[in-house]
Amino acid sequence: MAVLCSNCAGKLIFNPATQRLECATCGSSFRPEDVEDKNAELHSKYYDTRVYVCSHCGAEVITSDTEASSFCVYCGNPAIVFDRISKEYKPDGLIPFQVTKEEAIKNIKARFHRNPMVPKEIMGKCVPENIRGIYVPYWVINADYTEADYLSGEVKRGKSTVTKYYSRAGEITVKNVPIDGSKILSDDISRKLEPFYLEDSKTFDEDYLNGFYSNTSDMTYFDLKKSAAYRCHKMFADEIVKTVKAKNVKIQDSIYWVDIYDDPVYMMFPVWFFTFKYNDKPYTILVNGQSGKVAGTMPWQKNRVIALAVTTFVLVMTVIVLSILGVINNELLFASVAPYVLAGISLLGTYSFTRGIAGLRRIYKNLRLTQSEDIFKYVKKRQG
Amino acid sequence: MNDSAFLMNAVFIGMLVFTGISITLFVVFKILNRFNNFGDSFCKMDDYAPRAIHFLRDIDDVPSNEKRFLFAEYGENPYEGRQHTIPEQLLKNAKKESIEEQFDQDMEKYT
Repeated sequence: MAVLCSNCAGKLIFNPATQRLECATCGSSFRPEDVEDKNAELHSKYYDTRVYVCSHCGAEVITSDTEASSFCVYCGNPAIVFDRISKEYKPDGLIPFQVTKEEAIKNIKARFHRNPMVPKEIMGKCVPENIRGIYVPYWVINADYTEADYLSGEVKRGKSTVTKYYSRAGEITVKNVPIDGSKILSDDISRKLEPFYLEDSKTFDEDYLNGFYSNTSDMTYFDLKKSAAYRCHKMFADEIVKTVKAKNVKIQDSIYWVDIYDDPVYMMFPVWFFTFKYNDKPYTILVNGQSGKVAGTMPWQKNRVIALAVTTFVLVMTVIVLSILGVINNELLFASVAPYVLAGISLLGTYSFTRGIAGLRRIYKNLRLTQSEDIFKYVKKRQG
Repeated sequence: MNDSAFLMNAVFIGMLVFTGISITLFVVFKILNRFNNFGDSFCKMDDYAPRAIHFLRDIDDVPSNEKRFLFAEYGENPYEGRQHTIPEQLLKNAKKESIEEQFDQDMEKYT
Protein backbone atom coordinates (compact mmCIF):
# COMPACT_ATOMS: atom_id res chain seq x y z
CA MET A 1 0.00 0.00 0.00
CA ALA A 2 1.40 3.42 -0.99
CA VAL A 3 2.19 5.83 1.80
CA LEU A 4 1.25 9.38 0.93
CA CYS A 5 2.73 12.64 2.12
CA SER A 6 0.57 14.20 4.84
CA ASN A 7 1.31 17.70 3.42
CA CYS A 8 0.58 17.24 -0.31
CA ALA A 9 -0.55 13.62 -0.79
CA GLY A 10 2.53 12.95 -2.97
CA LYS A 11 4.20 9.53 -2.90
CA LEU A 12 6.94 9.00 -0.32
CA ILE A 13 10.22 7.25 -1.19
CA PHE A 14 12.73 5.91 1.35
CA ASN A 15 16.15 7.59 1.01
CA PRO A 16 19.01 5.40 2.35
CA ALA A 17 21.32 8.42 2.73
CA THR A 18 19.01 10.20 5.20
CA GLN A 19 17.12 7.10 6.44
CA ARG A 20 13.90 9.12 5.96
CA LEU A 21 10.86 8.97 3.71
CA GLU A 22 11.00 11.87 1.29
CA CYS A 23 8.26 13.43 -0.81
CA ALA A 24 9.43 14.10 -4.37
CA THR A 25 6.61 16.64 -4.87
CA CYS A 26 6.91 19.02 -1.91
CA GLY A 27 10.25 17.94 -0.41
CA SER A 28 8.85 17.06 3.04
CA SER A 29 10.57 14.22 4.90
CA PHE A 30 9.41 11.88 7.65
CA ARG A 31 10.87 9.14 9.83
CA PRO A 32 9.29 5.79 8.73
CA GLU A 33 8.19 5.05 12.28
CA ASP A 34 6.36 8.42 12.43
CA VAL A 35 4.20 7.75 9.37
CA GLU A 36 0.82 6.68 10.60
CA ASP A 37 -0.83 3.60 9.11
CA LYS A 38 -4.54 4.35 9.12
CA ASN A 39 -5.40 0.66 8.71
CA ALA A 40 -2.94 -0.61 11.30
CA GLU A 41 -5.27 -3.27 12.64
CA LEU A 42 -6.03 -4.64 9.18
CA HIS A 43 -2.34 -4.59 8.29
CA SER A 44 -1.09 -6.11 11.55
CA LYS A 45 -0.25 -9.44 9.95
CA TYR A 46 -0.19 -8.74 6.22
CA TYR A 47 0.92 -6.04 3.81
CA ASP A 48 -0.22 -5.29 0.25
CA THR A 49 2.09 -5.93 -2.68
CA ARG A 50 2.01 -5.92 -6.48
CA VAL A 51 3.45 -9.16 -7.86
CA TYR A 52 5.18 -9.30 -11.25
CA VAL A 53 6.28 -12.59 -12.81
CA CYS A 54 9.21 -12.99 -15.20
CA SER A 55 8.11 -15.23 -18.06
CA HIS A 56 11.77 -15.95 -18.83
CA CYS A 57 13.11 -17.28 -15.52
CA GLY A 58 9.92 -17.59 -13.46
CA ALA A 59 11.05 -15.22 -10.71
CA GLU A 60 8.45 -13.25 -8.78
CA VAL A 61 9.28 -9.60 -8.24
CA ILE A 62 7.27 -7.65 -5.71
CA THR A 63 6.89 -3.89 -5.65
CA SER A 64 5.01 -1.44 -3.56
CA ASP A 65 2.55 0.90 -5.31
CA THR A 66 5.27 3.46 -5.85
CA GLU A 67 7.37 1.45 -8.31
CA ALA A 68 6.39 -0.30 -11.53
CA SER A 69 8.59 -3.14 -12.64
CA SER A 70 9.89 -3.01 -16.21
CA PHE A 71 12.38 -5.90 -16.22
CA CYS A 72 13.33 -8.88 -14.10
CA VAL A 73 15.86 -7.91 -11.44
CA TYR A 74 17.20 -11.47 -11.41
CA CYS A 75 17.85 -12.20 -15.10
CA GLY A 76 17.52 -8.77 -16.70
CA ASN A 77 14.83 -9.92 -19.11
CA PRO A 78 12.13 -7.39 -20.04
CA ALA A 79 9.51 -10.17 -20.39
CA ILE A 80 8.00 -9.32 -17.02
CA VAL A 81 4.25 -9.09 -16.58
CA PHE A 82 2.00 -7.87 -13.79
CA ASP A 83 0.44 -10.91 -12.16
CA ARG A 84 -1.64 -9.94 -9.15
CA ILE A 85 -2.08 -7.80 -6.07
CA SER A 86 -1.26 -9.96 -3.11
CA LYS A 87 -1.43 -9.85 0.65
CA GLU A 88 1.82 -11.15 2.08
CA TYR A 89 2.82 -12.10 5.60
CA LYS A 90 4.75 -9.30 7.21
CA PRO A 91 8.39 -10.19 7.93
CA ASP A 92 9.50 -9.75 11.56
CA GLY A 93 12.05 -7.14 10.62
CA LEU A 94 14.34 -5.67 8.02
CA ILE A 95 17.66 -3.95 7.59
CA PRO A 96 16.95 -0.68 5.73
CA PHE A 97 19.10 0.26 2.73
CA GLN A 98 22.09 2.24 3.97
CA VAL A 99 24.04 2.32 0.71
CA THR A 100 22.49 4.63 -1.87
CA LYS A 101 22.20 3.74 -5.55
CA GLU A 102 24.98 6.24 -6.33
CA GLU A 103 27.27 4.63 -3.74
CA ALA A 104 26.49 1.15 -5.14
CA ILE A 105 27.42 2.39 -8.65
CA LYS A 106 30.59 3.93 -7.24
CA ASN A 107 31.55 0.66 -5.54
CA ILE A 108 30.98 -1.32 -8.74
CA LYS A 109 32.86 1.25 -10.84
CA ALA A 110 35.78 1.13 -8.41
CA ARG A 111 36.20 -2.49 -9.53
CA PHE A 112 36.58 -1.31 -13.15
CA HIS A 113 39.18 1.25 -12.26
CA ARG A 114 42.47 0.34 -13.94
CA ASN A 115 41.06 -3.11 -14.68
CA PRO A 116 42.45 -4.16 -18.07
CA MET A 117 40.41 -7.38 -18.25
CA VAL A 118 36.83 -6.11 -17.98
CA PRO A 119 35.28 -5.16 -21.36
CA LYS A 120 34.92 -1.39 -21.64
CA GLU A 121 31.28 -1.56 -22.81
CA ILE A 122 30.25 -3.00 -19.41
CA MET A 123 31.42 0.17 -17.70
CA GLY A 124 28.98 2.11 -19.87
CA LYS A 125 26.19 -0.16 -18.66
CA CYS A 126 26.80 0.66 -15.00
CA VAL A 127 24.13 3.37 -14.95
CA PRO A 128 21.22 3.95 -12.52
CA GLU A 129 18.67 2.40 -14.95
CA ASN A 130 20.43 -0.97 -14.75
CA ILE A 131 20.64 -1.04 -10.95
CA ARG A 132 17.69 -1.98 -8.76
CA GLY A 133 17.40 -2.17 -5.01
CA ILE A 134 15.64 -5.26 -3.77
CA TYR A 135 14.82 -6.45 -0.27
CA VAL A 136 15.77 -10.13 -0.31
CA PRO A 137 13.95 -12.42 2.16
CA TYR A 138 16.13 -14.15 4.74
CA TRP A 139 15.49 -16.44 7.69
CA VAL A 140 17.76 -15.77 10.65
CA ILE A 141 18.10 -19.02 12.55
CA ASN A 142 19.54 -20.44 15.75
CA ALA A 143 20.28 -24.14 15.52
CA ASP A 144 22.05 -27.21 16.87
CA TYR A 145 24.26 -28.91 14.32
CA THR A 146 26.07 -32.27 14.24
CA GLU A 147 28.43 -33.50 11.54
CA ALA A 148 30.65 -36.57 11.03
CA ASP A 149 33.42 -36.47 8.42
CA TYR A 150 35.74 -39.03 6.89
CA LEU A 151 38.79 -37.22 5.52
CA SER A 152 41.99 -37.98 3.64
CA GLY A 153 45.30 -36.16 3.64
CA GLU A 154 48.83 -36.60 2.36
CA VAL A 155 51.77 -36.93 4.77
CA LYS A 156 55.50 -37.37 4.19
CA ARG A 157 56.86 -40.79 5.09
CA GLY A 158 60.63 -40.67 4.44
CA LYS A 159 61.05 -39.65 0.81
CA SER A 160 57.60 -40.73 -0.28
CA THR A 161 54.12 -39.31 0.30
CA VAL A 162 51.38 -41.52 1.67
CA THR A 163 47.62 -40.95 1.97
CA LYS A 164 46.20 -41.19 5.48
CA TYR A 165 42.58 -41.18 6.61
CA TYR A 166 40.99 -39.26 9.46
CA SER A 167 37.76 -39.48 11.38
CA ARG A 168 36.04 -36.45 12.89
CA ALA A 169 32.66 -35.80 14.45
CA GLY A 170 31.42 -32.81 16.37
CA GLU A 171 28.45 -30.70 17.40
CA ILE A 172 27.97 -26.98 17.65
CA THR A 173 25.28 -24.41 18.37
CA VAL A 174 25.02 -21.54 15.89
CA LYS A 175 23.25 -18.22 16.46
CA ASN A 176 21.83 -15.64 14.05
CA VAL A 177 22.82 -17.43 10.83
CA PRO A 178 21.17 -15.73 7.83
CA ILE A 179 19.64 -18.20 5.35
CA ASP A 180 18.48 -16.71 2.08
CA GLY A 181 14.75 -17.41 1.85
CA SER A 182 14.38 -17.07 -1.91
CA LYS A 183 14.66 -20.13 -4.14
CA ILE A 184 15.60 -18.00 -7.12
CA LEU A 185 18.82 -16.75 -5.54
CA SER A 186 21.58 -19.32 -5.20
CA ASP A 187 22.77 -19.84 -1.62
CA ASP A 188 26.35 -19.74 -2.93
CA ILE A 189 25.74 -16.21 -4.24
CA SER A 190 23.87 -14.93 -1.19
CA ARG A 191 26.64 -16.28 1.09
CA LYS A 192 29.07 -13.94 -0.66
CA LEU A 193 27.01 -10.92 0.38
CA GLU A 194 27.54 -11.58 4.08
CA PRO A 195 28.05 -10.24 6.64
CA PHE A 196 24.81 -8.42 7.40
CA TYR A 197 24.86 -6.65 10.75
CA LEU A 198 21.67 -7.35 12.68
CA GLU A 199 22.31 -4.47 15.10
CA ASP A 200 20.90 -2.14 12.42
CA SER A 201 17.71 -4.12 11.92
CA LYS A 202 14.31 -2.50 12.47
CA THR A 203 10.87 -3.88 13.13
CA PHE A 204 9.20 -4.42 9.76
CA ASP A 205 7.51 -1.33 8.41
CA GLU A 206 6.39 -1.36 4.79
CA ASP A 207 7.30 2.31 4.46
CA TYR A 208 10.94 1.22 4.17
CA LEU A 209 10.02 -0.66 0.97
CA ASN A 210 8.97 2.50 -0.87
CA GLY A 211 11.17 2.98 -3.91
CA PHE A 212 12.52 -0.57 -3.81
CA TYR A 213 11.56 -4.02 -5.00
CA SER A 214 11.10 -6.86 -2.57
CA ASN A 215 10.55 -10.55 -2.60
CA THR A 216 8.81 -12.88 -0.20
CA SER A 217 10.21 -16.17 0.98
CA ASP A 218 9.01 -18.98 -1.28
CA MET A 219 10.65 -21.85 0.59
CA THR A 220 9.05 -24.47 2.80
CA TYR A 221 10.28 -25.56 6.24
CA PHE A 222 11.91 -28.56 4.55
CA ASP A 223 13.78 -26.21 2.15
CA LEU A 224 14.86 -24.05 5.09
CA LYS A 225 16.28 -27.07 6.93
CA LYS A 226 18.11 -28.17 3.78
CA SER A 227 19.58 -24.70 3.20
CA ALA A 228 20.52 -24.35 6.89
CA ALA A 229 22.23 -27.76 6.88
CA TYR A 230 24.14 -26.86 3.69
CA ARG A 231 25.16 -23.46 5.12
CA CYS A 232 26.39 -24.98 8.42
CA HIS A 233 28.15 -27.81 6.55
CA LYS A 234 30.15 -25.29 4.50
CA MET A 235 31.35 -23.51 7.66
CA PHE A 236 31.87 -26.71 9.68
CA ALA A 237 33.88 -28.37 6.87
CA ASP A 238 36.24 -25.35 6.69
CA GLU A 239 36.96 -25.73 10.42
CA ILE A 240 37.33 -29.53 10.34
CA VAL A 241 39.86 -29.47 7.48
CA LYS A 242 42.05 -27.19 9.63
CA THR A 243 42.26 -29.85 12.38
CA VAL A 244 44.03 -32.35 10.10
CA LYS A 245 47.80 -31.98 10.06
CA ALA A 246 48.40 -33.11 6.49
CA LYS A 247 48.61 -31.69 3.00
CA ASN A 248 45.89 -31.69 0.37
CA VAL A 249 43.21 -32.52 2.95
CA LYS A 250 39.88 -33.54 1.41
CA ILE A 251 36.56 -34.53 2.94
CA GLN A 252 35.84 -37.93 1.39
CA ASP A 253 32.38 -38.27 2.84
CA SER A 254 30.26 -36.59 5.46
CA ILE A 255 26.92 -36.85 7.18
CA TYR A 256 25.21 -33.95 8.94
CA TRP A 257 22.08 -33.03 10.87
CA VAL A 258 20.55 -29.72 11.83
CA ASP A 259 17.84 -28.80 14.29
CA ILE A 260 16.47 -25.27 13.91
CA TYR A 261 15.14 -23.72 17.10
CA ASP A 262 11.56 -22.53 17.38
CA ASP A 263 12.27 -18.93 16.61
CA PRO A 264 13.51 -18.48 12.98
CA VAL A 265 13.18 -14.76 12.34
CA TYR A 266 11.75 -13.68 8.99
CA MET A 267 13.79 -10.72 7.75
CA MET A 268 14.41 -8.66 4.64
CA PHE A 269 17.97 -7.67 3.77
CA PRO A 270 18.90 -4.91 1.30
CA VAL A 271 20.72 -5.85 -1.93
CA TRP A 272 21.49 -3.82 -5.06
CA PHE A 273 21.28 -5.85 -8.30
CA PHE A 274 23.34 -4.64 -11.29
CA THR A 275 22.05 -6.56 -14.31
CA PHE A 276 23.59 -6.33 -17.77
CA LYS A 277 24.10 -8.34 -20.95
CA TYR A 278 27.46 -9.12 -22.50
CA ASN A 279 27.77 -11.31 -25.60
CA ASP A 280 24.04 -12.05 -25.31
CA LYS A 281 24.45 -13.55 -21.84
CA PRO A 282 22.86 -11.90 -18.80
CA TYR A 283 25.02 -11.17 -15.76
CA THR A 284 24.08 -10.01 -12.26
CA ILE A 285 26.51 -8.35 -9.90
CA LEU A 286 25.23 -7.86 -6.34
CA VAL A 287 26.05 -5.15 -3.81
CA ASN A 288 25.23 -5.55 -0.11
CA GLY A 289 22.84 -2.65 0.56
CA GLN A 290 24.09 -2.33 4.14
CA SER A 291 27.88 -2.64 3.85
CA GLY A 292 28.47 -1.91 0.14
CA LYS A 293 30.35 -5.19 -0.42
CA VAL A 294 30.38 -6.17 -4.12
CA ALA A 295 29.82 -9.86 -5.01
CA GLY A 296 30.02 -11.52 -8.42
CA THR A 297 32.40 -12.25 -11.25
CA MET A 298 32.84 -9.89 -14.19
CA PRO A 299 33.29 -11.36 -17.67
CA TRP A 300 36.66 -10.71 -19.29
CA GLN A 301 37.91 -9.85 -22.77
CA LYS A 302 39.19 -13.10 -24.24
CA ASN A 303 41.79 -11.43 -26.48
CA ARG A 304 43.25 -9.55 -23.49
CA VAL A 305 43.51 -12.77 -21.46
CA ILE A 306 45.15 -14.61 -24.37
CA ALA A 307 47.63 -11.73 -24.80
CA LEU A 308 48.38 -11.83 -21.07
CA ALA A 309 48.93 -15.60 -21.17
CA VAL A 310 51.24 -15.46 -24.19
CA THR A 311 53.29 -12.58 -22.74
CA THR A 312 53.60 -14.33 -19.38
CA PHE A 313 54.62 -17.60 -21.05
CA VAL A 314 57.31 -15.90 -23.16
CA LEU A 315 58.66 -14.01 -20.13
CA VAL A 316 58.69 -17.09 -17.90
CA MET A 317 60.41 -19.23 -20.54
CA THR A 318 62.99 -16.51 -21.18
CA VAL A 319 63.85 -16.29 -17.48
CA ILE A 320 64.03 -20.10 -17.07
CA VAL A 321 66.12 -20.65 -20.23
CA LEU A 322 68.54 -17.81 -19.40
CA SER A 323 68.98 -19.12 -15.84
CA ILE A 324 69.66 -22.64 -17.07
CA LEU A 325 72.08 -21.43 -19.75
CA GLY A 326 73.94 -19.53 -17.03
CA VAL A 327 74.24 -22.70 -14.95
CA ILE A 328 75.20 -24.91 -17.92
CA ASN A 329 78.02 -22.56 -18.90
CA ASN A 330 79.60 -23.16 -15.54
CA GLU A 331 80.38 -26.92 -15.66
CA LEU A 332 81.36 -27.23 -12.00
CA LEU A 333 78.26 -25.43 -10.82
CA PHE A 334 76.12 -27.43 -13.28
CA ALA A 335 77.32 -30.76 -11.90
CA SER A 336 76.56 -29.76 -8.32
CA VAL A 337 73.21 -28.01 -8.74
CA ALA A 338 71.63 -29.83 -11.71
CA PRO A 339 69.59 -32.33 -9.61
CA TYR A 340 68.32 -29.52 -7.37
CA VAL A 341 67.40 -27.37 -10.37
CA LEU A 342 65.46 -30.28 -11.88
CA ALA A 343 63.68 -31.01 -8.59
CA GLY A 344 62.93 -27.31 -8.10
CA ILE A 345 61.49 -26.91 -11.60
CA SER A 346 59.29 -29.98 -11.29
CA LEU A 347 58.02 -28.87 -7.85
CA LEU A 348 57.34 -25.32 -9.04
CA GLY A 349 55.58 -26.64 -12.15
CA THR A 350 53.38 -29.06 -10.20
CA TYR A 351 52.49 -26.47 -7.54
CA SER A 352 51.63 -23.76 -10.07
CA PHE A 353 49.66 -26.19 -12.21
CA THR A 354 47.46 -27.52 -9.38
CA ARG A 355 46.88 -24.06 -7.85
CA GLY A 356 46.29 -22.43 -11.24
CA ILE A 357 43.83 -25.06 -12.49
CA ALA A 358 41.92 -25.15 -9.16
CA GLY A 359 41.77 -21.34 -9.08
CA LEU A 360 40.59 -21.00 -12.68
CA ARG A 361 37.91 -23.65 -12.13
CA ARG A 362 36.68 -21.68 -9.11
CA ILE A 363 36.56 -18.44 -11.13
CA TYR A 364 34.65 -20.16 -13.96
CA LYS A 365 32.19 -21.58 -11.43
CA ASN A 366 31.70 -18.10 -9.98
CA LEU A 367 31.25 -16.64 -13.47
CA ARG A 368 28.53 -19.21 -14.21
CA LEU A 369 26.81 -18.23 -10.96
CA THR A 370 26.98 -14.58 -11.98
CA GLN A 371 25.36 -15.43 -15.32
CA SER A 372 21.82 -15.10 -14.07
CA GLU A 373 20.32 -17.84 -16.20
CA ASP A 374 22.65 -20.28 -14.54
CA ILE A 375 21.78 -18.93 -11.09
CA PHE A 376 18.27 -20.11 -11.79
CA LYS A 377 19.26 -23.51 -13.17
CA TYR A 378 21.71 -24.02 -10.33
CA VAL A 379 19.13 -23.27 -7.67
CA LYS A 380 16.51 -25.45 -9.29
CA LYS A 381 19.00 -28.30 -9.52
CA ARG A 382 20.16 -28.01 -5.92
CA GLN A 383 16.80 -27.38 -4.35
CA GLY A 384 15.07 -30.02 -6.43
CA MET B 1 74.08 -37.76 -29.42
CA ASN B 2 72.91 -41.18 -28.26
CA ASP B 3 69.29 -42.16 -27.65
CA SER B 4 69.35 -41.82 -23.87
CA ALA B 5 70.88 -38.34 -24.01
CA PHE B 6 68.27 -37.34 -26.58
CA LEU B 7 65.50 -38.71 -24.35
CA MET B 8 66.92 -36.88 -21.32
CA ASN B 9 67.00 -33.61 -23.25
CA ALA B 10 63.46 -34.15 -24.50
CA VAL B 11 62.21 -34.83 -20.96
CA PHE B 12 64.09 -31.79 -19.67
CA ILE B 13 62.65 -29.50 -22.35
CA GLY B 14 59.19 -30.97 -21.74
CA MET B 15 59.52 -30.19 -18.04
CA LEU B 16 60.56 -26.62 -18.82
CA VAL B 17 57.58 -26.08 -21.13
CA PHE B 18 55.23 -27.67 -18.55
CA THR B 19 56.62 -25.35 -15.86
CA GLY B 20 56.19 -22.37 -18.19
CA ILE B 21 52.56 -23.29 -18.92
CA SER B 22 51.88 -23.94 -15.23
CA ILE B 23 53.27 -20.58 -14.12
CA THR B 24 51.29 -18.89 -16.90
CA LEU B 25 48.07 -20.56 -15.68
CA PHE B 26 48.85 -19.48 -12.13
CA VAL B 27 49.50 -15.86 -13.16
CA VAL B 28 46.31 -15.71 -15.27
CA PHE B 29 44.33 -17.09 -12.32
CA LYS B 30 45.85 -14.55 -9.91
CA ILE B 31 45.10 -11.63 -12.24
CA LEU B 32 41.50 -12.70 -12.97
CA ASN B 33 40.94 -13.36 -9.28
CA ARG B 34 42.32 -9.95 -8.37
CA PHE B 35 40.43 -7.93 -10.98
CA ASN B 36 37.29 -9.86 -12.00
CA ASN B 37 36.25 -12.04 -9.06
CA PHE B 38 34.64 -10.11 -6.18
CA GLY B 39 33.35 -10.95 -2.75
CA ASP B 40 34.88 -14.38 -2.20
CA SER B 41 35.50 -13.81 1.53
CA PHE B 42 32.95 -15.78 3.52
CA CYS B 43 31.74 -15.61 7.09
CA LYS B 44 33.27 -18.36 9.19
CA MET B 45 31.90 -20.54 11.97
CA ASP B 46 33.41 -18.14 14.55
CA ASP B 47 31.08 -15.40 13.29
CA TYR B 48 27.98 -17.41 14.21
CA ALA B 49 28.99 -19.79 17.00
CA PRO B 50 29.41 -18.49 20.54
CA ARG B 51 31.43 -21.61 21.47
CA ALA B 52 33.96 -23.77 19.62
CA ILE B 53 33.07 -27.13 18.05
CA HIS B 54 32.55 -29.83 20.67
CA PHE B 55 34.41 -32.81 19.22
CA LEU B 56 32.77 -36.21 19.66
CA ARG B 57 35.37 -38.04 17.60
CA ASP B 58 38.88 -36.92 16.65
CA ILE B 59 41.02 -39.80 15.40
CA ASP B 60 44.01 -39.66 13.05
CA ASP B 61 45.34 -42.39 10.78
CA VAL B 62 42.24 -44.55 10.90
CA PRO B 63 41.92 -47.92 9.09
CA SER B 64 40.02 -48.14 5.82
CA ASN B 65 36.90 -49.66 7.43
CA GLU B 66 36.57 -46.70 9.85
CA LYS B 67 34.09 -44.91 7.58
CA ARG B 68 31.56 -47.72 8.13
CA PHE B 69 31.82 -47.42 11.93
CA LEU B 70 31.76 -43.60 11.83
CA PHE B 71 28.60 -43.45 9.76
CA ALA B 72 26.98 -46.27 11.71
CA GLU B 73 27.50 -44.26 14.90
CA TYR B 74 26.38 -40.87 13.52
CA GLY B 75 23.98 -42.00 10.80
CA GLU B 76 20.90 -41.52 12.97
CA ASN B 77 19.43 -38.02 13.32
CA PRO B 78 20.33 -37.01 16.90
CA TYR B 79 17.50 -34.46 16.90
CA GLU B 80 14.80 -36.94 15.85
CA GLY B 81 11.55 -36.36 17.69
CA ARG B 82 12.12 -32.71 18.58
CA GLN B 83 8.94 -30.77 17.82
CA HIS B 84 8.98 -27.19 16.59
CA THR B 85 6.53 -24.47 15.70
CA ILE B 86 6.80 -23.53 12.04
CA PRO B 87 6.42 -19.88 10.92
CA GLU B 88 3.21 -19.15 9.00
CA GLN B 89 5.03 -18.02 5.84
CA LEU B 90 6.74 -21.43 5.55
CA LEU B 91 3.45 -23.26 6.14
CA LYS B 92 1.77 -21.13 3.46
CA ASN B 93 4.56 -21.98 0.99
CA ALA B 94 4.25 -25.70 1.74
CA LYS B 95 0.50 -25.52 1.15
CA LYS B 96 1.04 -23.65 -2.13
CA GLU B 97 3.63 -26.21 -3.22
CA SER B 98 1.36 -29.16 -2.46
CA ILE B 99 -1.49 -27.53 -4.41
CA GLU B 100 0.84 -27.00 -7.39
CA GLU B 101 2.03 -30.62 -7.16
CA GLN B 102 -1.56 -31.84 -7.06
CA PHE B 103 -2.36 -29.67 -10.09
CA ASP B 104 0.64 -31.09 -12.00
CA GLN B 105 -0.46 -34.65 -11.16
CA ASP B 106 -4.00 -33.92 -12.29
CA MET B 107 -2.75 -32.41 -15.54
CA GLU B 108 -0.65 -35.51 -16.21
CA LYS B 109 -3.80 -37.63 -16.10
CA TYR B 110 -5.31 -35.59 -18.95
CA THR B 111 -2.23 -35.39 -21.17
